[in-house]
Amino acid sequence: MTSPKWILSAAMLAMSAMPAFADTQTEEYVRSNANDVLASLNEPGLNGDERRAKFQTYMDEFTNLDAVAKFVIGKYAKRFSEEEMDAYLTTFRTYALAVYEFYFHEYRGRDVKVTGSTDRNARDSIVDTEIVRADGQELEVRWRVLNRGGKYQVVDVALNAEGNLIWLAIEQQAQFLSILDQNNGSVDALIAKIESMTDDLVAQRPEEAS
Amino acid sequence: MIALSACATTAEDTSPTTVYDPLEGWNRGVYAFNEGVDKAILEPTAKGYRAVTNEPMRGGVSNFLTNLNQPVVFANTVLQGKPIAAVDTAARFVLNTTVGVAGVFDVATMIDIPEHREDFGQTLGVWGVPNGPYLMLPIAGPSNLRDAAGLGVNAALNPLNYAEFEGDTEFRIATGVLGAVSARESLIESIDVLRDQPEPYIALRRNYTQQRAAAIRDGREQEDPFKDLPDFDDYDFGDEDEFESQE
Repeated sequence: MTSPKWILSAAMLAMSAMPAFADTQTEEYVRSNANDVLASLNEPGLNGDERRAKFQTYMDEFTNLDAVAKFVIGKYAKRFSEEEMDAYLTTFRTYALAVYEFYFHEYRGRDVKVTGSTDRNARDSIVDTEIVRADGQELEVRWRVLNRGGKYQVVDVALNAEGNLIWLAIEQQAQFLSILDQNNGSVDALIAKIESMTDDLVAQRPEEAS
Repeated sequence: MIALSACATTAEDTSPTTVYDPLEGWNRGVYAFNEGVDKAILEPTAKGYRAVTNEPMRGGVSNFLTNLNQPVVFANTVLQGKPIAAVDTAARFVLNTTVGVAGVFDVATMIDIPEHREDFGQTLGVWGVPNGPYLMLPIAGPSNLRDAAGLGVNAALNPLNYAEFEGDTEFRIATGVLGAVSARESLIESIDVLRDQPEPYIALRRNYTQQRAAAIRDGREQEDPFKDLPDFDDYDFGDEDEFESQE
Protein backbone atom coordinates (compact mmCIF):
# COMPACT_ATOMS: atom_id res chain seq x y z
CA MET A 1 0.00 0.00 0.00
CA THR A 2 1.26 3.44 -0.85
CA SER A 3 1.74 5.63 2.21
CA PRO A 4 0.89 9.35 2.18
CA LYS A 5 4.47 9.99 3.36
CA TRP A 6 5.87 8.31 0.26
CA ILE A 7 3.57 10.32 -2.01
CA LEU A 8 4.63 13.52 -0.28
CA SER A 9 8.33 12.64 -0.66
CA ALA A 10 7.84 11.80 -4.33
CA ALA A 11 5.97 15.05 -4.92
CA MET A 12 8.68 17.07 -3.19
CA LEU A 13 11.36 15.30 -5.20
CA ALA A 14 9.49 16.05 -8.42
CA MET A 15 9.07 19.69 -7.45
CA SER A 16 12.72 20.09 -6.52
CA ALA A 17 13.72 18.53 -9.83
CA MET A 18 11.50 20.82 -11.90
CA PRO A 19 13.64 23.99 -11.94
CA ALA A 20 16.77 22.06 -12.93
CA PHE A 21 14.84 20.41 -15.75
CA ALA A 22 13.56 23.78 -16.95
CA ASP A 23 17.10 25.20 -16.76
CA THR A 24 18.59 22.49 -18.92
CA GLN A 25 15.96 22.88 -21.62
CA THR A 26 16.09 26.68 -21.56
CA GLU A 27 19.88 26.71 -21.61
CA GLU A 28 19.92 24.39 -24.59
CA TYR A 29 17.30 26.53 -26.34
CA VAL A 30 19.48 29.63 -25.98
CA ARG A 31 22.74 27.89 -26.83
CA SER A 32 21.42 26.29 -29.98
CA ASN A 33 19.43 29.28 -31.28
CA ALA A 34 21.97 31.97 -30.40
CA ASN A 35 24.63 29.99 -32.25
CA ASP A 36 22.33 29.59 -35.26
CA VAL A 37 21.64 33.33 -35.30
CA LEU A 38 25.33 34.27 -35.18
CA ALA A 39 26.20 31.59 -37.75
CA SER A 40 23.54 32.94 -40.13
CA LEU A 41 25.43 36.24 -40.31
CA ASN A 42 28.60 34.47 -41.33
CA GLU A 43 27.79 32.55 -44.48
CA PRO A 44 30.20 33.69 -47.18
CA GLY A 45 28.27 31.75 -49.85
CA LEU A 46 25.25 34.04 -49.47
CA ASN A 47 24.87 37.65 -50.55
CA GLY A 48 23.78 40.36 -48.07
CA ASP A 49 20.05 40.02 -48.77
CA GLU A 50 20.10 36.22 -48.57
CA ARG A 51 22.04 36.32 -45.30
CA ARG A 52 19.64 38.90 -43.92
CA ALA A 53 16.62 36.76 -44.86
CA LYS A 54 18.13 33.77 -43.09
CA PHE A 55 19.04 35.87 -40.05
CA GLN A 56 15.49 37.22 -39.86
CA THR A 57 13.99 33.75 -40.05
CA TYR A 58 16.13 32.61 -37.12
CA MET A 59 15.36 35.78 -35.16
CA ASP A 60 11.62 35.29 -35.64
CA GLU A 61 11.95 31.79 -34.25
CA PHE A 62 14.27 32.80 -31.40
CA THR A 63 12.60 35.98 -30.17
CA ASN A 64 9.10 37.31 -29.73
CA LEU A 65 9.44 40.67 -31.46
CA ASP A 66 5.74 41.52 -31.15
CA ALA A 67 5.91 41.05 -27.38
CA VAL A 68 9.03 43.22 -27.21
CA ALA A 69 7.42 45.86 -29.45
CA LYS A 70 4.38 46.07 -27.17
CA PHE A 71 6.47 46.01 -24.00
CA VAL A 72 8.63 48.96 -25.09
CA ILE A 73 5.58 51.21 -25.50
CA GLY A 74 4.21 50.24 -22.06
CA LYS A 75 0.85 51.86 -21.30
CA TYR A 76 0.46 52.94 -24.94
CA ALA A 77 0.13 49.30 -26.03
CA LYS A 78 -3.49 49.51 -24.90
CA ARG A 79 -4.12 52.98 -26.28
CA PHE A 80 -3.13 52.57 -29.94
CA SER A 81 -5.91 51.68 -32.35
CA GLU A 82 -5.61 48.41 -34.25
CA GLU A 83 -4.42 50.25 -37.35
CA GLU A 84 -1.87 52.26 -35.41
CA MET A 85 -0.63 49.13 -33.70
CA ASP A 86 -0.19 47.29 -37.01
CA ALA A 87 1.79 50.19 -38.48
CA TYR A 88 3.91 50.44 -35.33
CA LEU A 89 4.61 46.67 -35.15
CA THR A 90 5.78 46.61 -38.77
CA THR A 91 8.07 49.61 -38.24
CA PHE A 92 9.42 48.26 -34.96
CA ARG A 93 10.15 44.84 -36.45
CA THR A 94 12.27 46.35 -39.24
CA TYR A 95 14.09 48.53 -36.72
CA ALA A 96 14.70 45.73 -34.19
CA LEU A 97 16.09 43.40 -36.84
CA ALA A 98 18.39 46.17 -38.10
CA VAL A 99 19.57 46.84 -34.52
CA TYR A 100 20.27 43.17 -33.79
CA GLU A 101 21.99 42.67 -37.14
CA PHE A 102 24.16 45.73 -36.55
CA TYR A 103 25.26 44.75 -33.05
CA PHE A 104 25.56 41.00 -33.69
CA HIS A 105 27.75 41.67 -36.73
CA GLU A 106 30.90 41.85 -34.61
CA TYR A 107 30.03 38.45 -33.13
CA ARG A 108 29.08 36.69 -36.36
CA GLY A 109 30.17 33.08 -36.49
CA ARG A 110 31.39 33.16 -32.90
CA ASP A 111 30.58 30.47 -30.35
CA VAL A 112 27.99 31.19 -27.65
CA LYS A 113 28.77 29.33 -24.42
CA VAL A 114 26.19 28.92 -21.69
CA THR A 115 27.71 29.64 -18.28
CA GLY A 116 24.63 29.27 -16.06
CA SER A 117 20.98 30.10 -15.62
CA THR A 118 18.40 31.23 -13.11
CA ASP A 119 14.71 30.34 -13.07
CA ARG A 120 12.66 33.30 -11.87
CA ASN A 121 9.75 30.86 -12.00
CA ALA A 122 8.78 27.87 -14.12
CA ARG A 123 7.91 30.14 -17.07
CA ASP A 124 10.56 32.83 -16.82
CA SER A 125 14.30 32.15 -16.89
CA ILE A 126 17.56 34.00 -17.38
CA VAL A 127 20.33 32.19 -19.26
CA ASP A 128 23.91 33.47 -18.83
CA THR A 129 26.20 33.18 -21.82
CA GLU A 130 29.64 34.28 -22.89
CA ILE A 131 30.64 35.20 -26.41
CA VAL A 132 34.29 35.68 -27.32
CA ARG A 133 34.86 38.13 -30.17
CA ALA A 134 37.46 37.52 -32.87
CA ASP A 135 39.77 40.03 -31.12
CA GLY A 136 39.56 37.99 -27.89
CA GLN A 137 37.27 40.39 -26.04
CA GLU A 138 34.69 38.54 -23.95
CA LEU A 139 31.11 39.67 -23.79
CA GLU A 140 28.73 38.54 -21.04
CA VAL A 141 25.19 38.31 -22.40
CA ARG A 142 22.09 37.26 -20.47
CA TRP A 143 18.93 36.19 -22.22
CA ARG A 144 15.50 36.42 -20.67
CA VAL A 145 13.48 33.47 -21.91
CA LEU A 146 9.76 32.98 -21.37
CA ASN A 147 8.19 29.56 -21.59
CA ARG A 148 4.62 29.78 -22.76
CA GLY A 149 2.90 26.42 -23.12
CA GLY A 150 6.21 24.70 -23.89
CA LYS A 151 7.25 27.32 -26.46
CA TYR A 152 10.38 29.23 -25.53
CA GLN A 153 11.11 32.73 -26.75
CA VAL A 154 13.59 35.42 -25.84
CA VAL A 155 12.08 38.76 -24.81
CA ASP A 156 15.08 40.69 -23.53
CA VAL A 157 18.87 40.67 -23.55
CA ALA A 158 21.19 42.11 -20.91
CA LEU A 159 24.81 43.17 -21.19
CA ASN A 160 26.97 43.40 -18.10
CA ALA A 161 28.78 46.74 -17.94
CA GLU A 162 30.98 46.97 -14.83
CA GLY A 163 28.42 45.40 -12.53
CA ASN A 164 25.44 46.96 -14.30
CA LEU A 165 23.01 44.76 -16.11
CA ILE A 166 21.71 46.80 -19.03
CA TRP A 167 18.47 45.22 -20.27
CA LEU A 168 17.94 46.43 -23.81
CA ALA A 169 14.12 46.29 -23.89
CA ILE A 170 13.85 48.04 -20.52
CA GLU A 171 16.18 50.81 -21.71
CA GLN A 172 14.24 51.10 -24.96
CA GLN A 173 10.95 51.28 -23.06
CA ALA A 174 12.16 54.24 -20.97
CA GLN A 175 13.19 56.10 -24.13
CA PHE A 176 10.12 55.24 -26.23
CA LEU A 177 7.75 56.21 -23.41
CA SER A 178 9.52 59.55 -23.12
CA ILE A 179 9.10 60.17 -26.87
CA LEU A 180 5.41 59.25 -26.71
CA ASP A 181 4.82 61.34 -23.56
CA GLN A 182 6.41 64.38 -25.20
CA ASN A 183 4.28 63.96 -28.32
CA ASN A 184 0.88 63.40 -26.68
CA GLY A 185 1.10 59.68 -27.40
CA SER A 186 1.35 60.20 -31.15
CA VAL A 187 2.11 56.95 -32.93
CA ASP A 188 3.17 58.93 -36.01
CA ALA A 189 5.87 60.76 -34.06
CA LEU A 190 7.21 57.47 -32.70
CA ILE A 191 7.12 55.78 -36.10
CA ALA A 192 8.94 58.74 -37.71
CA LYS A 193 11.65 58.52 -35.03
CA ILE A 194 12.02 54.75 -35.41
CA GLU A 195 12.20 55.02 -39.20
CA SER A 196 14.94 57.63 -39.02
CA MET A 197 16.93 55.40 -36.64
CA THR A 198 16.48 52.43 -38.96
CA ASP A 199 17.76 54.53 -41.87
CA ASP A 200 20.83 55.50 -39.81
CA LEU A 201 21.54 51.85 -38.97
CA VAL A 202 21.22 50.78 -42.59
CA ALA A 203 23.54 53.62 -43.65
CA GLN A 204 26.12 52.53 -41.04
CA ARG A 205 25.91 48.86 -42.05
CA PRO A 206 29.43 47.45 -42.56
CA GLU A 207 30.34 46.90 -46.20
CA GLU A 208 30.68 43.13 -45.82
CA ALA A 209 27.11 42.97 -44.45
CA SER A 210 25.53 45.00 -47.27
CA MET B 1 2.01 46.84 -15.85
CA ILE B 2 0.75 47.50 -12.34
CA ALA B 3 4.32 47.33 -11.11
CA LEU B 4 5.41 49.83 -13.77
CA SER B 5 2.62 52.26 -12.92
CA ALA B 6 3.50 52.02 -9.26
CA CYS B 7 7.11 52.87 -10.05
CA ALA B 8 6.05 55.95 -11.97
CA THR B 9 4.25 57.36 -8.97
CA THR B 10 7.02 56.77 -6.44
CA ALA B 11 8.79 60.01 -5.58
CA GLU B 12 12.27 58.56 -5.51
CA ASP B 13 13.28 55.00 -6.17
CA THR B 14 15.92 52.98 -7.92
CA SER B 15 13.66 50.67 -9.92
CA PRO B 16 14.84 49.62 -13.37
CA THR B 17 12.47 52.01 -15.11
CA THR B 18 12.56 55.31 -13.28
CA VAL B 19 15.00 58.00 -12.17
CA TYR B 20 13.81 60.77 -9.86
CA ASP B 21 14.04 63.89 -12.04
CA PRO B 22 11.71 66.62 -10.78
CA LEU B 23 13.79 69.30 -12.55
CA GLU B 24 13.55 67.60 -15.94
CA GLY B 25 12.58 70.76 -17.82
CA TRP B 26 15.56 72.70 -16.47
CA ASN B 27 17.88 69.70 -16.86
CA ARG B 28 16.90 69.26 -20.50
CA GLY B 29 17.75 72.91 -21.11
CA VAL B 30 21.19 72.44 -19.55
CA TYR B 31 21.66 69.25 -21.56
CA ALA B 32 20.91 71.13 -24.80
CA PHE B 33 23.36 73.85 -23.75
CA ASN B 34 26.04 71.24 -22.96
CA GLU B 35 25.47 69.58 -26.33
CA GLY B 36 26.00 72.94 -28.04
CA VAL B 37 29.22 73.63 -26.15
CA ASP B 38 30.40 70.08 -26.73
CA LYS B 39 29.83 70.16 -30.48
CA ALA B 40 31.38 73.63 -30.81
CA ILE B 41 34.41 73.21 -28.56
CA LEU B 42 34.94 70.02 -26.58
CA GLU B 43 34.32 67.37 -29.24
CA PRO B 44 36.49 69.02 -31.94
CA THR B 45 39.24 69.62 -29.36
CA ALA B 46 39.09 65.99 -28.18
CA LYS B 47 39.22 64.73 -31.77
CA GLY B 48 42.12 67.06 -32.51
CA TYR B 49 43.91 65.80 -29.41
CA ARG B 50 43.39 62.21 -30.59
CA ALA B 51 44.68 63.12 -34.04
CA VAL B 52 47.97 64.64 -32.84
CA THR B 53 48.77 62.09 -30.12
CA ASN B 54 49.24 58.35 -30.04
CA GLU B 55 47.83 55.91 -27.52
CA PRO B 56 50.92 55.70 -25.27
CA MET B 57 51.03 59.51 -25.06
CA ARG B 58 47.36 59.73 -24.15
CA GLY B 59 47.83 56.88 -21.67
CA GLY B 60 50.67 58.84 -20.02
CA VAL B 61 48.52 61.96 -19.73
CA SER B 62 45.63 59.97 -18.31
CA ASN B 63 47.96 58.22 -15.81
CA PHE B 64 49.41 61.56 -14.74
CA LEU B 65 45.97 63.08 -14.12
CA THR B 66 44.68 59.95 -12.35
CA ASN B 67 47.71 60.00 -10.09
CA LEU B 68 47.08 63.63 -9.12
CA ASN B 69 43.64 62.56 -7.89
CA GLN B 70 44.88 59.69 -5.70
CA PRO B 71 44.83 61.71 -2.45
CA VAL B 72 41.08 62.16 -3.01
CA VAL B 73 40.64 58.43 -3.68
CA PHE B 74 42.72 57.61 -0.59
CA ALA B 75 40.65 59.87 1.68
CA ASN B 76 37.44 58.31 0.39
CA THR B 77 38.64 54.72 0.85
CA VAL B 78 39.37 55.64 4.48
CA LEU B 79 35.98 57.34 4.88
CA GLN B 80 34.32 54.23 3.45
CA GLY B 81 36.22 51.96 5.85
CA LYS B 82 38.15 50.07 3.17
CA PRO B 83 41.65 49.55 4.61
CA ILE B 84 42.93 47.30 1.81
CA ALA B 85 41.83 49.78 -0.85
CA ALA B 86 43.42 52.58 1.19
CA VAL B 87 46.77 50.76 1.36
CA ASP B 88 46.58 49.95 -2.38
CA THR B 89 45.88 53.60 -3.18
CA ALA B 90 48.67 54.94 -0.97
CA ALA B 91 51.12 52.42 -2.45
CA ARG B 92 50.06 53.31 -5.99
CA PHE B 93 50.51 57.01 -5.33
CA VAL B 94 53.99 56.66 -3.83
CA LEU B 95 55.20 54.21 -6.46
CA ASN B 96 53.73 55.96 -9.50
CA THR B 97 54.81 59.41 -8.33
CA THR B 98 58.42 58.29 -7.87
CA VAL B 99 59.28 55.29 -10.06
CA GLY B 100 56.47 56.19 -12.45
CA VAL B 101 57.88 59.71 -13.04
CA ALA B 102 55.17 61.95 -11.55
CA GLY B 103 52.52 59.37 -12.39
CA VAL B 104 53.07 59.22 -16.16
CA PHE B 105 53.88 55.50 -15.99
CA ASP B 106 51.48 53.24 -14.15
CA VAL B 107 54.12 51.05 -12.51
CA ALA B 108 51.71 49.97 -9.78
CA THR B 109 49.40 48.22 -12.24
CA MET B 110 52.41 46.41 -13.74
CA ILE B 111 53.01 44.81 -10.34
CA ASP B 112 49.32 44.13 -9.78
CA ILE B 113 48.44 46.79 -7.24
CA PRO B 114 44.82 47.41 -8.18
CA GLU B 115 43.42 50.85 -8.92
CA HIS B 116 40.38 52.00 -6.96
CA ARG B 117 37.96 54.69 -8.06
CA GLU B 118 36.28 56.45 -5.19
CA ASP B 119 34.90 59.92 -4.68
CA PHE B 120 32.86 61.64 -2.02
CA GLY B 121 29.57 61.11 -3.87
CA GLN B 122 30.23 57.36 -3.63
CA THR B 123 31.23 57.72 0.01
CA LEU B 124 27.90 59.40 0.77
CA GLY B 125 26.21 56.54 -1.13
CA VAL B 126 28.07 53.96 0.96
CA TRP B 127 26.91 55.84 4.07
CA GLY B 128 23.33 55.42 2.87
CA VAL B 129 22.65 58.92 1.51
CA PRO B 130 20.12 58.62 -1.35
CA ASN B 131 20.76 60.07 -4.83
CA GLY B 132 18.37 62.97 -4.46
CA PRO B 133 17.05 64.59 -7.63
CA TYR B 134 18.91 64.05 -10.88
CA LEU B 135 20.85 67.15 -11.97
CA MET B 136 22.39 68.08 -15.27
CA LEU B 137 25.30 70.37 -14.45
CA PRO B 138 26.53 72.94 -16.97
CA ILE B 139 29.67 71.57 -18.72
CA ALA B 140 30.27 68.93 -16.01
CA GLY B 141 27.26 66.91 -17.23
CA PRO B 142 25.08 64.34 -15.46
CA SER B 143 24.95 64.26 -11.67
CA ASN B 144 22.50 64.21 -8.79
CA LEU B 145 22.19 66.22 -5.60
CA ARG B 146 24.34 63.80 -3.60
CA ASP B 147 27.11 63.56 -6.20
CA ALA B 148 27.10 67.31 -6.89
CA ALA B 149 27.58 67.95 -3.17
CA GLY B 150 30.38 65.39 -3.29
CA LEU B 151 32.19 67.37 -6.00
CA GLY B 152 32.86 70.23 -3.57
CA VAL B 153 34.23 67.86 -0.93
CA ASN B 154 36.42 66.13 -3.53
CA ALA B 155 37.93 69.49 -4.43
CA ALA B 156 38.58 70.20 -0.73
CA LEU B 157 40.19 66.78 -0.27
CA ASN B 158 42.78 67.45 -2.98
CA PRO B 159 45.80 69.28 -1.54
CA LEU B 160 46.78 70.51 -5.01
CA ASN B 161 43.72 72.74 -5.02
CA TYR B 162 45.00 74.93 -2.19
CA ALA B 163 48.74 74.24 -2.00
CA GLU B 164 50.79 77.34 -2.78
CA PHE B 165 53.77 76.97 -5.06
CA GLU B 166 55.27 78.88 -7.92
CA GLY B 167 52.93 78.80 -10.90
CA ASP B 168 50.18 77.11 -8.84
CA THR B 169 47.32 78.92 -10.62
CA GLU B 170 48.71 78.10 -14.07
CA PHE B 171 49.23 74.48 -13.01
CA ARG B 172 45.63 74.16 -11.82
CA ILE B 173 44.26 75.71 -15.03
CA ALA B 174 46.47 73.53 -17.23
CA THR B 175 45.57 70.27 -15.45
CA GLY B 176 41.89 71.28 -15.47
CA VAL B 177 41.90 71.85 -19.23
CA LEU B 178 43.97 68.74 -19.89
CA GLY B 179 41.63 66.71 -17.68
CA ALA B 180 38.58 67.89 -19.64
CA VAL B 181 40.18 67.15 -23.02
CA SER B 182 41.52 63.76 -21.91
CA ALA B 183 38.18 62.73 -20.41
CA ARG B 184 36.25 63.84 -23.51
CA GLU B 185 38.69 61.99 -25.77
CA SER B 186 38.10 58.75 -23.86
CA LEU B 187 34.35 59.23 -24.33
CA ILE B 188 34.31 59.87 -28.10
CA GLU B 189 32.81 56.48 -28.99
CA SER B 190 30.46 56.33 -25.99
CA ILE B 191 28.98 59.75 -26.74
CA ASP B 192 28.52 58.78 -30.39
CA VAL B 193 26.55 55.71 -29.24
CA LEU B 194 24.56 57.90 -26.85
CA ARG B 195 23.64 60.33 -29.62
CA ASP B 196 22.37 57.41 -31.72
CA GLN B 197 19.83 56.49 -29.03
CA PRO B 198 16.12 57.27 -29.56
CA GLU B 199 16.15 59.64 -26.56
CA PRO B 200 19.72 60.53 -25.55
CA TYR B 201 18.68 62.60 -22.51
CA ILE B 202 16.80 59.64 -21.01
CA ALA B 203 19.55 57.18 -21.99
CA LEU B 204 22.21 59.32 -20.29
CA ARG B 205 20.10 59.85 -17.18
CA ARG B 206 19.54 56.11 -16.75
CA ASN B 207 23.08 55.16 -17.62
CA TYR B 208 24.56 57.67 -15.18
CA THR B 209 22.28 56.59 -12.35
CA GLN B 210 22.94 52.88 -12.91
CA GLN B 211 26.70 53.40 -13.25
CA ARG B 212 26.87 55.31 -9.99
CA ALA B 213 24.85 52.65 -8.20
CA ALA B 214 27.28 50.01 -9.50
CA ALA B 215 30.28 52.16 -8.47
CA ILE B 216 28.89 52.39 -4.94
CA ARG B 217 28.73 48.56 -4.96
CA ASP B 218 32.35 48.58 -6.21
CA GLY B 219 31.28 47.01 -9.50
CA ARG B 220 29.61 44.02 -7.90
CA GLU B 221 26.30 42.92 -9.33
CA GLN B 222 23.21 43.48 -7.22
CA GLU B 223 22.48 40.64 -4.79
CA ASP B 224 19.31 39.62 -6.59
CA PRO B 225 19.65 41.25 -10.01
CA PHE B 226 16.48 39.69 -11.45
CA LYS B 227 14.13 40.52 -8.58
CA ASP B 228 12.65 43.69 -10.06
CA LEU B 229 12.44 42.69 -13.71
CA PRO B 230 9.14 43.83 -15.23
CA ASP B 231 6.42 41.46 -16.26
CA PHE B 232 5.85 40.68 -19.92
CA ASP B 233 2.49 39.04 -19.38
CA ASP B 234 0.50 42.02 -20.60
CA TYR B 235 2.43 42.18 -23.83
CA ASP B 236 3.43 38.74 -25.04
CA PHE B 237 2.27 35.99 -27.27
CA GLY B 238 -1.30 37.18 -27.79
CA ASP B 239 -2.84 33.96 -26.49
CA GLU B 240 -4.65 35.06 -23.34
CA ASP B 241 -5.19 31.49 -22.12
CA GLU B 242 -1.49 30.90 -21.87
CA PHE B 243 -0.73 34.01 -19.85
CA GLU B 244 -2.71 33.61 -16.73
CA SER B 245 -0.59 34.82 -13.88
CA GLN B 246 1.29 32.25 -11.84
CA GLU B 247 0.09 33.83 -8.60
